[in-house]
Amino acid sequence: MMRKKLSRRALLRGAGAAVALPFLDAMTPAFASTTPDAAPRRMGYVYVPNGIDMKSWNPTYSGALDALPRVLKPMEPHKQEMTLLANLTSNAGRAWLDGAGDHGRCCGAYLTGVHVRKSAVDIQAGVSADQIVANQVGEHTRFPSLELGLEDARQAGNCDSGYSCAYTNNMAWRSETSPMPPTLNPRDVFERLFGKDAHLTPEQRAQRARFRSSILDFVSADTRSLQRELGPTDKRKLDEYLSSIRSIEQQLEKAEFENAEIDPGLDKPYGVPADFAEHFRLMTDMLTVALQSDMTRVFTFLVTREGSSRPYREIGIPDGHHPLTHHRNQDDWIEKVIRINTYHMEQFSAWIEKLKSIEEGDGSLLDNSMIVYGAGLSDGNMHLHHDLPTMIVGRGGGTIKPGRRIVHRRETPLANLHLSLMNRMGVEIDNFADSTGRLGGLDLS
Amino acid sequence: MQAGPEKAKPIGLIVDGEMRGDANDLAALATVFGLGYLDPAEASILTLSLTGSAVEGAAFVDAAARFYSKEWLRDFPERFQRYRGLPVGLSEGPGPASPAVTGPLAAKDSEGEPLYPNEVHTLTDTADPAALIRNGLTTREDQSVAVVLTGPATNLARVLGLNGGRELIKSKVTLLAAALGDLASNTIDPHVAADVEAARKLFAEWPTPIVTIGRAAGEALTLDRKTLATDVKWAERHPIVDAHRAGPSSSSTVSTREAAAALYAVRPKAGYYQESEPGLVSVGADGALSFEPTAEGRHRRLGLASSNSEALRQLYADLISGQPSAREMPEFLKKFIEREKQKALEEEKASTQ
Repeated sequence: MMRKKLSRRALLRGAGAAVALPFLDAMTPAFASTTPDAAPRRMGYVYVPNGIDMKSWNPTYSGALDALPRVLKPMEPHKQEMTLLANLTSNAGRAWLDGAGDHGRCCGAYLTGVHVRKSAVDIQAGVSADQIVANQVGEHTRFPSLELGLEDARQAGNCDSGYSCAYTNNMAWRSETSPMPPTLNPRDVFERLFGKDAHLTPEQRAQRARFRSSILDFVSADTRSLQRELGPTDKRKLDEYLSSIRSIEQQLEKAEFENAEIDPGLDKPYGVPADFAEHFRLMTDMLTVALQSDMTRVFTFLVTREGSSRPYREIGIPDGHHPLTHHRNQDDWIEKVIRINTYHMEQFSAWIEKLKSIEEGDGSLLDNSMIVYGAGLSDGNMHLHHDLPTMIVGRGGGTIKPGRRIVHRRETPLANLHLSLMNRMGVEIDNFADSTGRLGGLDLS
Repeated sequence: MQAGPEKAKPIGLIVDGEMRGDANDLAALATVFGLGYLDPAEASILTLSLTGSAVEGAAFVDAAARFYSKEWLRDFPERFQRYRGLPVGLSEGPGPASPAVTGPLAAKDSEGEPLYPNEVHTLTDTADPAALIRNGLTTREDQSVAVVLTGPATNLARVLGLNGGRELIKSKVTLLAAALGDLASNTIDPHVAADVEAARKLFAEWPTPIVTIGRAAGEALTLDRKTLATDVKWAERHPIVDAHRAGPSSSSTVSTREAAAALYAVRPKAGYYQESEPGLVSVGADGALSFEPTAEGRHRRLGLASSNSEALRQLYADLISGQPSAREMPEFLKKFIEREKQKALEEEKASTQ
């Protein structure tokens, strides 16, 4: 019997709610080969601030990945999914003739490749790589791109030696003068993805949240109807997917409940978990659902803002991150920087585990993704803009052969990486920013 | 009160050439370092890049750059003597390594450490020259850079081919001084023959004035080999002297052709050399150059101004053998070191109480 093909754009609907579906086998024609290429490719950037301790990042070898240095250790289970890239340079982040302000410049330049204008008011950067892709592939998805972050930060004013906070606090730029601020509150993300009550005040939302049912209850009739049409594998995939949405709802409810107990004197936005790891997990869980259900194929995730002085009390570090990176080679300060770098990597690794576990076609959601983890500075103490810590996780739908460290020549533009990923996302251009060509070796074993 | 005259900033130098270890290459490199370090207020070396050289050639240039930089910073505490230059650029497809450069690279000090430390061991330790030169240009104000070419035009042609490369050159560069092409004779210059297409592109598209220095101009003023071998008195061991001693000695004299490109780039108005009328150079398919005089032309040929020979020879000798000036420590660093001393004293005092 010929199986009926399910539309890639199909939704579960009911009572004003709509839930997108994950990629299911039923979305490919019956008996067709379900290669990873059948699923869409996704591209995203995860950015950490203040550079990384490079002695704890760079292995001493190139080629097949072997023992990983300390900061990368949490990625040990995903070694065969990651490609480490050495010697990428963000020349636009350097001072040129503009003096101090490396944090403002490096973040503004990271995805735009532009040497941003030094001003706290009259900002000018460029269209970022992710937005060029979003403009091209965004028409296929509900959201052309998602911009997420974890640290509340202002968008105006001087954040670094005369550089606007717009540069340190945003990665994505829609135009030369329009950054796309990351969404910080998990509830806002959830409502953007699934709900329609984003216009309500936090108090109204909280009241509604206390009494309302799960969004899945609204679409239950549609769900049951669809389940009858699916084969056993797709049924399992759908169950897992809907369970992950319910789990996010429960995490949000828990975060809101916990925050209700917090002294209002603490400047904590409503719905944001107090715990960094929990916040990271919640945001990436929602990002996972958005990617899985093809609500978006492009994202940026500013873990904390560039130049962040966030303390990490949860791992016993009350000092601010940025001041610690100016360690002047004092061992105890360097040790704390390494612990923060590693802590970030632990959260990231846990997310990768999740992406790896989600089946999609013949592979996983991760197989069809290209997620760059990196920073706009290498050595945060010296404010260096070369040999940026950079890795790609995922196989880009079979276009990247991971499990290796590729050492490029020094001064190789970071824009070469952006160009290579943009091409893989279907953007047919030969130049981007200061690129000198495509990044070699990504698809070679 | 009238403001005093603005202090002239050093001209930035982009130097692209060869390092096969022959005396001409070594004399040119020593002249470049002499111009950059004897009076750093006059010239500042932005980038060094090579075509057709071995990785060892790049390692040698890196070692020499670090050697001069360290001497320039000799009054600084050792931990502040870190080399801050950009990496050496090297075109792909490098040539054979000469004993002139491998000899000094293998030399050890009394403790068995490399006498001339460097950070180039493989091709990936060098930079793609096009990106390097472009990045070097971005650090400078408009019309403040001179480009010196002492080898094939491969790397400069690639910069021209970069997105926005020509516009960047036009805004930053005042002049290209090129030891490229032999207009005075009918022979084909090996620098052109090595990459004819690049030479054609360079003369056709380079947006600033170009002066070309042919082999005849270099042969018209030669240096005694002892200038390289024995004239350096300020250092017991010197990488360029060691390279010269370890290298081939097919001739008793050294051509100043390549060195002239560097000297002219820094001091174009000094009158050491005579410029031809303006014109346009074109490059034939076989690599032969022709020069068409035209008032609007951006190209000129350079010849030796005959009355200057002896003074000029001495000038080259001084640049090649001279000791870098000592950089004065900036005030903030002096204060920082003073604070550290005070802190150490206080800690010592506290520990003895």
